[in-house]
Amino acid sequence: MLKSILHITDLHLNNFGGTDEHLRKRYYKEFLDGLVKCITDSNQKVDIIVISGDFVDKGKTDNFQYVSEIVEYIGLKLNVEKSNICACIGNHDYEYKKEKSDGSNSSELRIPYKDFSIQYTATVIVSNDRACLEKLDSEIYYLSLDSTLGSHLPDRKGKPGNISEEEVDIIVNDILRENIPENSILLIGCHYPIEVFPNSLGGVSEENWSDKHQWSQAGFLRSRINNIPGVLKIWFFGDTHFPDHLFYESALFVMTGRFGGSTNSESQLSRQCKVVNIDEGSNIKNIATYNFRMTTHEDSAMNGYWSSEVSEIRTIQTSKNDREVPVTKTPIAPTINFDDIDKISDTIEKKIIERIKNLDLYSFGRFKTSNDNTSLGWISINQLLNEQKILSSIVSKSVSRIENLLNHSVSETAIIGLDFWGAIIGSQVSVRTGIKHFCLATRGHGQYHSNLEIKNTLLEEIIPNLKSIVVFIDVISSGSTVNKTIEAIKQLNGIIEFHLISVISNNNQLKSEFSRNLNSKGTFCLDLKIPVLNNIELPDEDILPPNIDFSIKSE
Amino acid sequence: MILETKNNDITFVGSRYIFTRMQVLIWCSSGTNLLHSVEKKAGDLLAHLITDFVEDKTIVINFAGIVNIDDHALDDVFVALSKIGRQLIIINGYHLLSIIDRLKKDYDITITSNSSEDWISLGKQNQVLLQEISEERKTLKADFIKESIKKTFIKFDSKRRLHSTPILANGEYNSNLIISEIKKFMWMCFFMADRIQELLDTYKLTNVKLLTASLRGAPFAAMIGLIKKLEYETIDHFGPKHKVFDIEFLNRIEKGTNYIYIGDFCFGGTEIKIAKTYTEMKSSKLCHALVLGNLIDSVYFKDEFELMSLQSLEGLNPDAEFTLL
Repeated sequence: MLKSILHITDLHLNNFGGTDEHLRKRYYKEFLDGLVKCITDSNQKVDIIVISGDFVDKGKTDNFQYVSEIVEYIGLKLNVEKSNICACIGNHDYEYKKEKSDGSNSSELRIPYKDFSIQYTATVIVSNDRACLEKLDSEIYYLSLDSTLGSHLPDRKGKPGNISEEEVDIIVNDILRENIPENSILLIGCHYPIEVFPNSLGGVSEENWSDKHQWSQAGFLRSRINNIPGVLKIWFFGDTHFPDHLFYESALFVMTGRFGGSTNSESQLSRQCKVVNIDEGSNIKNIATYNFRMTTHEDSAMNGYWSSEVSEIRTIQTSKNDREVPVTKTPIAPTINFDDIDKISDTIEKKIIERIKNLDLYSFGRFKTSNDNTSLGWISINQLLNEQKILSSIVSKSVSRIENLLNHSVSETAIIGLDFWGAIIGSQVSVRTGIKHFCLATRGHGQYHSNLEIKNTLLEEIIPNLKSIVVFIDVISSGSTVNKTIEAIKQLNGIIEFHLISVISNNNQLKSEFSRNLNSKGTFCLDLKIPVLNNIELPDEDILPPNIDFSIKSE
Repeated sequence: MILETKNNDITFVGSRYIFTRMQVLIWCSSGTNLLHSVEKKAGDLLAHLITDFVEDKTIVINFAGIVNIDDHALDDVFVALSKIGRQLIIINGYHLLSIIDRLKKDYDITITSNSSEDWISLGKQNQVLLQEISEERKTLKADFIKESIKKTFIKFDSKRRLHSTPILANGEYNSNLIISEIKKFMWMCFFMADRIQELLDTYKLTNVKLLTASLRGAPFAAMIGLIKKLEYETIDHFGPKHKVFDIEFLNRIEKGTNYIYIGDFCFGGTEIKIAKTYTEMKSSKLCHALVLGNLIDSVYFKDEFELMSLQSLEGLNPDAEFTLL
């Protein structure tokens, strides 16, 4: 079955007659024409469109009429019939602020969305408030899930909704009853991602991010649907505005960046959509990502162009009992275990620990390194690396490591120095190796740095031609800073190898998702314990305030 | 990965001379562990330069900062000089004459020198015209600095206020374009280090520390510290957007220290003024600042600190428009 599915999400139509949205009245056709041209120029066809919620912004349901106009236009340009356009509701698609805490008006508030989405309904097999199963053709089914339902409860306000076991039973039994034929495809549209994508991914931009944006209550539903045999399952998520795609539990999970929204809200992520290509044998062939590249420093509602790139599929290793879905491509980055982290030099590690002891450079306290995590230890890295012999030794050993480990040429490689000490080490290694170096500010998620520090356009220009990147950073606590940087780069070039060199990194703190993005990881000091805890495990900040805080603050 | 130093990165080629610097060769070949001592790898890199250049130009190498030469470090240099018949002039290295003489051993190399002009000539013995060498060196250096900094100007779509200074600008000088270019970054570090030496000599400063408080100033400060064997303090960060993540920096500012601020570009001097205030809170001084480029004439800051730069930005790029608000 040769099929191509376009995934769009988070249109966030706010002010159709305004000027700060790509999907505004006087610009959306130009914006979409550019996308369609980019799709056709890359010899890509589209059979089905899945739009995973947040069609309108902040419950402005009057805007559904304009969204219809926009969706109709893109369907027309791509020659996709309305019945092959699949939708699901997002948390912005109803007037959530008016939802009563007893849930008595939940259905009523969703009526404008239902009136809007009914025009895209194919043959409905079964439908209820939570889910709707449709049959697009003899081999393709679409399950729409309402992940917002149940968010009226006091503890779920502004978060994905609760789902009961009974609801899960009903949904799964409805699908099983249909006896979906083998080698069919089940597409699932669900606004909130269900647990699969890790906390450390780039959408972490507010307090308690995972609780607000991951539908962890539906993890059981995900697993049971994925257990349905003989059917290729593809999940389409929205909400996070952050892209990723991978295999897990023998299903494909696709999360795509936002398609619309105001350019007044700060974000470094480009407008985006993806096309999942399925080959004749119902195998995932590849995923093409279409990004609207900005041509200005600031996010702009018009200055940009569409570009495309094809990514292979990554997998998360699961237990042997998992059924395997055929994949035609191998993962681009091998999964590495915690044990794979290299200590680069015992001698330097000894010197580092000695200096930390002698100068009393280790502080214990509450150091909030991100919105989710807090480090309980803090090293005065400035005083540690002001010892010129240690710095010079680190540079020399890094040069040797790069020389021995990397197979690509100097011109196919770049060095990225993160924050002060990453930049200092990176610049010195650059002179020794001849590899270009770029420094980036990441602390505090870049909100306290200038555009030139957080967005290195020189780097962006060469990324498409790179095959490997060496990232330097001083201390790794949870790994979220590095992961965020890597994920952002992957948007521009999905096949780059990443090699990380840190001064201090605590082995057992690293999350598997963080390691998954790396081809190698070396550190100069592995034995120093720096405990990292999730913020929810610590007392409230008015009881124990942070010594330092790198989380994102709304200003 | 095969690593190779490019001749273009480590030299400036003039009409009659090819200029390089021993500490540059050491950095590229051996690293920064022993920037003040010539090891064999650095000597070999110099030997390659002597043999690689086809044109018959004299190689002038600046030995500033070098205090020692390892045994056998110059063996290949002597071999190359006798084989090619090229002249090698060492400037700022007369103090090493006895070591070079000793290392020459049986190699058939002529060595002449002049202590008052501080040069040593090896190999082919053309007349050493120090004035001519100085002028060509000065011109090449000035042109390199001017062009490198000029090219860092990036225009905005429209005019906007700069982060740390009330200046309306149609663009910004972006030192990332120097940091990411090996030749530019490396040589700017040495040119800044030379300015620091001038400062130390002029004011006879003691108890000196470098201080930087911006991401793009940090690579320069750390490298200048290594070159000049000066301690340096990095504070994350005062600018361009002020947000101090480095919670302990006030404890590190030591009483009686002469701080020299190192930065990339200076527009209104806000970060320097903040740094000065902090250092003076702890009974230290910050009377000097060195940057790649400055927009406002240093006279403007004369009552607060002496601002030095490699290049004035005023009128440097005809496309650049800066208006004080």
